[in-house]
Amino acid sequence: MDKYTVSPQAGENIDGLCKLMGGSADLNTAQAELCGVRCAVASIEGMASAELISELVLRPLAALAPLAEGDGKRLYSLLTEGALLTADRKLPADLREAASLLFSGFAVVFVEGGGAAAFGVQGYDRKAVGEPSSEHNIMGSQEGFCEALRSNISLVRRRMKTPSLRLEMLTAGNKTNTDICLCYLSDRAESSLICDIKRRIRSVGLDAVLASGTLKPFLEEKEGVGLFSEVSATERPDVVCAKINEGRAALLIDGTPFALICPSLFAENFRTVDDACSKPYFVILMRLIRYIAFFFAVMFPGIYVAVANYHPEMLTLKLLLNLTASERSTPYSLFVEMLIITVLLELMKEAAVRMPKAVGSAISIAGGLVIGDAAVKSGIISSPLLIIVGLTATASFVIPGLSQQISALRLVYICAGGTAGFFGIAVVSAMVMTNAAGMNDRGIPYTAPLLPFIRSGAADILSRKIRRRLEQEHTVVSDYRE
Amino acid sequence: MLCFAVWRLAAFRPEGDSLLICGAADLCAAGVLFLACLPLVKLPTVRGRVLSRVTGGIGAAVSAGIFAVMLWEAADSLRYSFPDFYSAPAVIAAAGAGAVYCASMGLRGCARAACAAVVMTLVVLALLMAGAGERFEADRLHLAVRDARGQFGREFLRALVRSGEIPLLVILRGEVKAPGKALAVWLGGRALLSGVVMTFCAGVLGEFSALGIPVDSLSSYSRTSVIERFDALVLLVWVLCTVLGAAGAAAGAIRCGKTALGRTEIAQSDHT
Repeated sequence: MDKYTVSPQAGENIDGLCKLMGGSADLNTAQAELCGVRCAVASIEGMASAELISELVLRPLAALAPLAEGDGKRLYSLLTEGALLTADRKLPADLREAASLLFSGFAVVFVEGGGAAAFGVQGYDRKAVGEPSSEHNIMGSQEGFCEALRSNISLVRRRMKTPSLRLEMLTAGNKTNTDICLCYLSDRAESSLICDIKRRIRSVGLDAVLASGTLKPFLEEKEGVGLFSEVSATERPDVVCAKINEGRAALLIDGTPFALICPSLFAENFRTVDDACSKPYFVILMRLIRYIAFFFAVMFPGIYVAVANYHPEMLTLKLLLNLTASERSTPYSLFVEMLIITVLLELMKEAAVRMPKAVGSAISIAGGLVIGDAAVKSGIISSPLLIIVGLTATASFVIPGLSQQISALRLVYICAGGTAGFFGIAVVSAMVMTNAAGMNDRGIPYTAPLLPFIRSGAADILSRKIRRRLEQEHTVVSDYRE
Repeated sequence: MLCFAVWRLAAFRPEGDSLLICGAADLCAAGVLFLACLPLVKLPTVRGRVLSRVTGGIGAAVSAGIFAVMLWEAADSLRYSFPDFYSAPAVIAAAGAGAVYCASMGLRGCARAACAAVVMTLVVLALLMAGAGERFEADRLHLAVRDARGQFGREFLRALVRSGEIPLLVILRGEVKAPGKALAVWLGGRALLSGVVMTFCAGVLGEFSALGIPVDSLSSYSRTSVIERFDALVLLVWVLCTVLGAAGAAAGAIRCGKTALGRTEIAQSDHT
C-alpha cells in the first residue's frame, strides 16, 4: 500500500500529512472524538479562514455527529452527501492531493472509518481590487487585476456573463504549482489555439512560475528570434474581456496582476479602451498621434544623428546654422553625445522604476534639472540634442506595451545613423520590418491586418468601426489567418 | 518584385539623349518579359530527384548572381551619389548582411516587408514630385531626338538583361500562391511607376534628365518648406528596396540550395 494513501485512522492521516510536509510550521491540525467517531481537521494558517472553518466545517460536523450514531462511515457519508457545507468541495484520493488542496486554502476533514473530504474555506490576505498602475484611461473601468487568482476570475466573469465563457484551471511550476486560469469563449476561440496553449503550459519545465512574464517565452512561437512578442500582458479585466471576445485566449496567473493574452498583434499596441468611447474622427487623430509617437521614440534620435552628420543638405539653412552653432561648443561628436544622453535616459528610467517612491522626486530633480541643465550649461551636451532626447522620452511613454522594443531599437538606430547615415537606417529598417512581418503566431501574422493587407480588419488600424458596422460585423483574430 | 522595380528605377542611368525613349524601352522590355515568362511561371515544380537537384543548383547559382549584381549596383550607385561617405566594400558587406538576415526570417516576412517598403517609396516619390512640381514644364518633354531607334534598341537590350526579378519569380514559383497575378501586378506597377517618374524627371530636368541618375538629380531639385533636398530620403527608400530585393534573391538561393542538397521546405506567399 502507498504510504500516502488515505488511512481509515484519522490520526494516521494527520501524521502522514505532517511527515509529507516535513512538520511545516503553518500546518494547523485538530483532532477530536465526536459521538464516538474520531475526526481530524487540517488546514494551512494564512490560507484558510479560521472563521469560515468554524462556521462551515466544525459546527456542521458537530451537528451531524449525533446523527451518525458512532458510525464513521455514516458520518462521512452525511458530511459528503447528506449536507451542503460549502460550494467548493473535493474528495482527495490520497494525502498528496489533500496537501495540494490545503495549499489552495481548503480545510481537509478526516473521518475515522470514512475517508477524507476537503472544503474550500479560503481566507488568505489579498490586495484589494484597485486601479491599474500601468494602463490608465479616462472613460473606461478603473478596476485592475490583483494578485489573487479567484478575485481576478470574478472580475472577468462579472463582465462576461455568458455560458460560453470557459475558465479552465491549469498548473505550472514543479515546486510552486502555480494556478493558472485559461479564459476563452468557446464559440469564438479556435480549438487548435486552446489545445496548443494547454500543451505549452503543461510542458513548462520550470521549478517556479512567479510572474506572468515567466510564461511568455513558452507561449511564443519563435522564442528569442522575434524583436516583438506575440503574447501581450494587461492588468485590465475589461481588456481581457474585449480580447477573448475577439477569439483570443487569456491566462490569469495566481500571484500576479498581469494577464497574458495570445495571440497579440502589432496594431493592438496602438489601441486603448478609450477608443471605444470616443468619436471616430478623434480616434483617427489619437491613433495617428500614437503611430507618430512610436516612430519618434524609435527613429528620431537616429535620424537626427544621420542628418546632422551625413545629410545636412536636407535641412533648411537657418536650422542648419542654429544646429552648427550649438554643436560647435560641445567636445564630443554628435553620435557620441547622443549615445551618452540616451544611455543616461535609460539609466534614469530604470532608477525611476526600482527606487522607493519616497525618493522619486529627488531623482526627478537630480536627473531632469541638475544633470540636464548642468550638462548643457557646461557645454558637454548641446541644447537641440537635449530637446530631441526629451521629445523621444515623452513619445516612448505613449505606447507602454512596446517600451522594451523602443529602448533597444532606439540605440540600434542611433548606432546605424551615426555610422552610416540613412544607408544604415535603411538597412536596419529592412531588418526590423522583416523581423516583425515574418512573425506568425499559430498562423496569424503579427503585422495583420496591414501586412498582409486584410480588407475586413484594415479599418481598425486607424479608426474604430461605426455603430452599424460594430453591430453587423464581428471580427475575430482567426479571420486574419493566412 | 516591385522592390526590384523601385531599385531599378531609383538607380536608372539612361544610355542616350532622351530619358523618355529610354523609359519606353525599359517598359517594352518589361512587357516582352511578361509575355515570355507567363507560361514559365505556370509550369509545375520539377519532379524527380536528379532533375530537381540539377534545377535547384542552377536556380541557386542564378539567385546568387542576382544577389551579387544588386549589391554591386547598390555600391556603384551610392559611390556615384554620395562619393564622400560610402565605400563599396562597406556597402556590400552591410547590405549583404542585412539581406541575408532578412532572408533568414523567411520569404513571407520579406514579401510583407517589401509591400511596406513600396508604400513608403510611393509616399517619398509623391513628396518628391510635390516638391519639384512647380519646375515641371511640358515643353521639356521633347521626343524628337537623333537616333531614337538606336537608343531604344540599346536600352531595350539593357533592360532585358537587368530584369533579375523575372528569373527569380520563375525559380520561386512554387512558393508564390498566384505567380501569374504577381507578374501582372509587377508589370502594371512597374509601368505606372516608371511612366510617371520618368515623365516627371524629363519635365523638370529637361535635357539634363538623360545625364547621370535622373531620380537622384530630381531629388536634389525638389524642396519643401521642411526638407531642403530629398537625396537622403530617396536613398533611404532605395536602400530599403535594394536590401529587401536582395533578400528575395538570397531566399531564392537558400531554397534552391536546399533543393540541390536534397532538403526542401515549401511555404506559400501571395505577395508580389
